[in-house]
Amino acid sequence: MNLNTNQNSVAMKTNEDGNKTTTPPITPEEHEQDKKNLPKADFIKQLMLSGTPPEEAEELADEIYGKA
Amino acid sequence: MAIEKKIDKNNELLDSSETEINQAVLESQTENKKNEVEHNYQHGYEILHDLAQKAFTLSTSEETSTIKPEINNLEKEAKELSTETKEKIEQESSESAIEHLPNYNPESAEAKLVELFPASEKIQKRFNEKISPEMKEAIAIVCGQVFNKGKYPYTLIGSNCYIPHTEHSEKIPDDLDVIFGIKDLGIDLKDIVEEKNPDGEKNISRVTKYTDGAYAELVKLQEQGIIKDLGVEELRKFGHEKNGCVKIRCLIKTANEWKEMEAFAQNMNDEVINQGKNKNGIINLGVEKQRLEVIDANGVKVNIGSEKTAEELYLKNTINEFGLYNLNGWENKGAVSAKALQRIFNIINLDSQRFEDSIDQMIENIGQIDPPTEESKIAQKTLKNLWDQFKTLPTEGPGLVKHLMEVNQIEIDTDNPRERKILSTEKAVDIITTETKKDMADIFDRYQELEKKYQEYLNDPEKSPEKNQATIEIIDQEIQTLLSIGSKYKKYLNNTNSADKNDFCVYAAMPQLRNQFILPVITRLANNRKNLEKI
Repeated sequence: MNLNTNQNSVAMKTNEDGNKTTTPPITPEEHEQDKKNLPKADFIKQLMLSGTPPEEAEELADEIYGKA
Repeated sequence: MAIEKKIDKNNELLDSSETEINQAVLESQTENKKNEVEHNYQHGYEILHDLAQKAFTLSTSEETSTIKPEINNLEKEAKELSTETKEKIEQESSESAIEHLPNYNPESAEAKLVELFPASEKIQKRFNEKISPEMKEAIAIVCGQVFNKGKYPYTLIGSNCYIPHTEHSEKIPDDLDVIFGIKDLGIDLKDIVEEKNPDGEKNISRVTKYTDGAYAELVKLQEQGIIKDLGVEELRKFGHEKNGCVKIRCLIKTANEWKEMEAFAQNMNDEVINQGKNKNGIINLGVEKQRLEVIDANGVKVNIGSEKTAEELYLKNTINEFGLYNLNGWENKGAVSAKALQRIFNIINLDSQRFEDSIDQMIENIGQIDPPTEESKIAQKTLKNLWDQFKTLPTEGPGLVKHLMEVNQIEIDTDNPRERKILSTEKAVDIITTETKKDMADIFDRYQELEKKYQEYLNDPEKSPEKNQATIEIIDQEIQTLLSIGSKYKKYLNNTNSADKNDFCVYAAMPQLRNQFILPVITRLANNRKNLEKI
């Protein structure tokens, strides 16, 4: 198959549809900055204070900050 | 529909200036063409048969070595005749397939890259059975009275093109999509002006001048009350710079309801060449050679994409959409739309696809794009990552598709396993995309609201412990809501069975919600919470 990708009209339609899709509210850069501002231990603490069980808070922290 | 000269019973011309739309004449001409093609084919076949006999006799004779050159010549002649016959048949077939296009220019660069042929009985039958009477009516109106009058190729795309090319689908197209050449539009782009809506909130486009073409025909239909809400819009590449293409939107009146149409006037060969790029076949389908089928919709001949065209179109859409989707980040701040997943499923569901191999095949096809683009590279990488990630999931789960069907109490009434598989996946994809789309929108809205309240409190000159606590409480509430949404999807993941490739289309909807919405918003809220504690 030899697709010619010069045209962007399908992309336009995509864009039409895409506009209806919600954009993530926080950019990757902002997210990285948030992680720097709030160390992993503080994140776990805040989540527990919000009513999250400790295991769940730690599991989530591992997912966001990594296990190290 | 073609306009034919009126003839009497003896085939004599009654009046050369008098014309009418005559289906009987068209059918008779089509029959004649068909007979002619059959005759040509038969003639070619007889010659080939004769040559093959001669070659066989010669090859088995004792004099074979001495007459080898003669055999080679006969073989060459046979091949030439075979090619000639094939070309003749294709030409005849192609000629009979453009009779519904009275102004069509088969010599144009675009037409030469597009092959039109009558739809097979199978495709026509499916179209008749699966497309609603109202949709057929709308298609017949808009194609018969607007797009069949164009000089360049056009085609129906979207679900009306997809449905006839798949055996099992319960989808009922609710709108119709057309692509056609910008030269058939009849509007100079400088004559489309953007103005503020009376409410001042939204830009609207207005056409200040137009000539003969698709837009003028639509204006006539609007004046007759056959369509309404006609509007145009210049399109932009990913929402930024204009790309020289135009979308027309309108509603078409049918016996029972108004059907929505979106027609995309695409850049054509000249525009693409002028941009110093490779040649373009039909308008935006983006491949060098397109095959379009001619089907009958309520007596009007209409172009629809072939199965190959449908596949390539979905593939290209998928590339564009996944090009915006970065599994581990938010490159371009883009997000994959629910339709991207449905398109993956649509590709898999086409007649000639083997369900088991289709995802690997699709990833491979994206890699064959020539020349590769940034978007195609990202799309391929993203899909491959998703696919690889999916394959690491357990293989002993009950199956996500099955789970969603059970939870939503949906029964598929068929004994055919392939049909059951396709229909249940189709439903499950609809369910998951609707669900994730809603969750994303809700998370976005609630976060915006919360961030506003947080900022208001930070700027409040009269802070108090009570106000502080109240702000913390609404943050806590949202963190718990997000965790509960996360748990719901975790349950879904636990039900996924990676041995069942069916589950992939459904699974693919979920990582984005978690990685781009749930996790970053929770992190931000935890940050805000900590800041409030310090006050």
